[in-house]
Amino acid sequence: MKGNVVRMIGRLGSALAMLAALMFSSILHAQDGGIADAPGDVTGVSRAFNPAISINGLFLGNVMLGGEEGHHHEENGHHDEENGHHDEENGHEEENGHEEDGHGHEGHAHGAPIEDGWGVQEIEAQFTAFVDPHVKANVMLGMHGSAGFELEEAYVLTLGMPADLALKAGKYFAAFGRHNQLHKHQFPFVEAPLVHESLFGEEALNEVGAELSWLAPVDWYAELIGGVYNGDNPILFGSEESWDLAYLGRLRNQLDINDATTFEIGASAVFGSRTQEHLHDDIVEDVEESNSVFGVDARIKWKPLEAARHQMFVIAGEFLTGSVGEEDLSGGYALAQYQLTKGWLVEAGFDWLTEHEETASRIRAVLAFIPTEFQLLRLQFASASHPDEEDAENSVSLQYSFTIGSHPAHSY
Amino acid sequence: MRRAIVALWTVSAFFLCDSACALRIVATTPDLAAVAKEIAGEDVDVHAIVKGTQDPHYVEAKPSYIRRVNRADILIYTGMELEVGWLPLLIEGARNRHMTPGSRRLINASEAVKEKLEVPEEELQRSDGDIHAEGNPHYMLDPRNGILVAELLAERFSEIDPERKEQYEANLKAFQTAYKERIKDWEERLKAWKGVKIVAYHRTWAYASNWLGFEVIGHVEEKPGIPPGPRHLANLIAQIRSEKAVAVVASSHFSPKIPQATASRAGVKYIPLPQTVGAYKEVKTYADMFEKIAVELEKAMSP
Repeated sequence: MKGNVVRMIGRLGSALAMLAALMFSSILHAQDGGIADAPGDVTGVSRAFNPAISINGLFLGNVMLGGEEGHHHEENGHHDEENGHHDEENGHEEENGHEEDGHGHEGHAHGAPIEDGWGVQEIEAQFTAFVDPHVKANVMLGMHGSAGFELEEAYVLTLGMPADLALKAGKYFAAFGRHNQLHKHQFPFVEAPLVHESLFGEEALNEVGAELSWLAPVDWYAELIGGVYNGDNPILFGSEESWDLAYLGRLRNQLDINDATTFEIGASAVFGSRTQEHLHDDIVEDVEESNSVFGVDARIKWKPLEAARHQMFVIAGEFLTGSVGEEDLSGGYALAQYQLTKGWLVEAGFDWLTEHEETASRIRAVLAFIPTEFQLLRLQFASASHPDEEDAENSVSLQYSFTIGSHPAHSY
Repeated sequence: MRRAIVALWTVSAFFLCDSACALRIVATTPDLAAVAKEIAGEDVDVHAIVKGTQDPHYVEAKPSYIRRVNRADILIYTGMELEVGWLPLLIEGARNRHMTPGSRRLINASEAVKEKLEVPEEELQRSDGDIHAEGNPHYMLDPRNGILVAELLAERFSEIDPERKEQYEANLKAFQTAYKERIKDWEERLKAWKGVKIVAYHRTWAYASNWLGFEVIGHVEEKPGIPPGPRHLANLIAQIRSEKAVAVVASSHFSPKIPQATASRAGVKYIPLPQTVGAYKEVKTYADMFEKIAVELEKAMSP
């Protein structure tokens, strides 16, 4: 019940934020007389202004290596990862646990890809169009497994605010680090890094709110972002105090070392609060916890400009440290990608998660085949070691991705 | 009050920008930048985002490009979906209030082109490869289109920067005169190519063929953007022989391996040509590009 109220307020908040963004930018433009002429007579129903639509399909097959036992352990391991820190810390709160289950439900079908078998990982439909000369909108629906569609992202972005500012409002993946803003089909590996799944959950840090970003007047690309969100993340926030907001700050720098090489370094912080029920002398008390996550990310990308050379080399890493309730979690990933030819790419990465002074880690290697920019087939080998297990869990995954519809632009 | 702010803004803007605030012009491709430079003049800053050795279809929206667009007064692009994979992100990221959709400072150069080629009439399907809904975007490979683009640029530059209107108009006049002269020369030298059959690697040469009158009978690429399979190549080689095509022509930015092998298997010449300015070191201007094309084609025709 309370959860619903929070969610309703969240929606209201997002609607208000969007409205504010629209009005703000419209007012600014109205001052330069930038409003377009009203359309003339409309005589029929036209398709001309339909948004650009593209659909991405992501399929995944998984095989656990090492038989029954391995599979059993794996399921345990997964459970630990999901709920472990809640259970141990405040394992008694019904409400919160319930809430998270409710949220996790949709997530489970797709977010836990480490199940033997072959299935739909995600079908994503993206709609993009200019709302008017001032604002562009993006709506993304995701179908996880074969369940119903859910709203992944829906936001507006201002196009020409003064002073190099841009406002993004709605629901979207928060600008925390690099990996958090990727959609599943853009992940460098089949699964998100362990630390991201533990700190942000399987749905990632996807929030309702507004981000204001500023392009600093320096010689390289430096962007400063401030965000205010409703604070819906079930692990970090999920506060029942309806006006307890979550806040984000990020600085992102990108500079070209030469024509082929770009270096990127960034730092992010997000904080907010969560209401937890603590059992104290048989009395359940609501306790307001302050949670925060800090992160740094770096990436170096080499890609020669000569069109005939389809090579690329990337080294990237991210480190996150968070305090959730009384617990501290940290972890990160490091990866290297090498594109051999137009059609083939190899990748290797290491990621780890430290909680309760124990570290779980994973090594993954990928061979990807890219016949055209609209298709991708990749084979992943993963070996995960968990502190409670003696043997590493090995798995092999085959992932297939296709994109149809309007040509989507690729971010760098 | 408002007037005071505007005045202050103008004064500060005057002091903030060097060389009396000449326009900062950014063009997506080097050919457009080269034409823009000739129209704008020496004291105007013109920059091309894509290098001559790059394939303009596949460019990454680097943040440094976003920076460029952010500081631009005018952005010129090819249009016809050539830059569709990356330009929207640059414009979106640049948050330049001059570059909002429909702005006069956002110049789609293809608006100047009267005769667009290979505009698909049927329903578009990706099974046809990487085709462009608005037609073949390589119109700058016909210098007559270059003149049309120059006219559009001069008109827009004058509109946006009326103080230099005379300069732009004078430069346009010089451009028109010079290129009309050069075009006559190139046409004369490449007369022998009229009606000659060739095979091209990509659909790059539709406009050049329309201008010079050579005939492109097939493409090495099975479909635009899709590398050929062995069966397609075998058919193509048979076609080259039966229809007596004389050469395989490819943009120099593509890997020469496949077009060269195709040409040698069919027993014809392989001619690499610059697709844009900067494709070769010596190709510095828009005229240099056609000069290079003319020299290469002449060379291929001489026994």
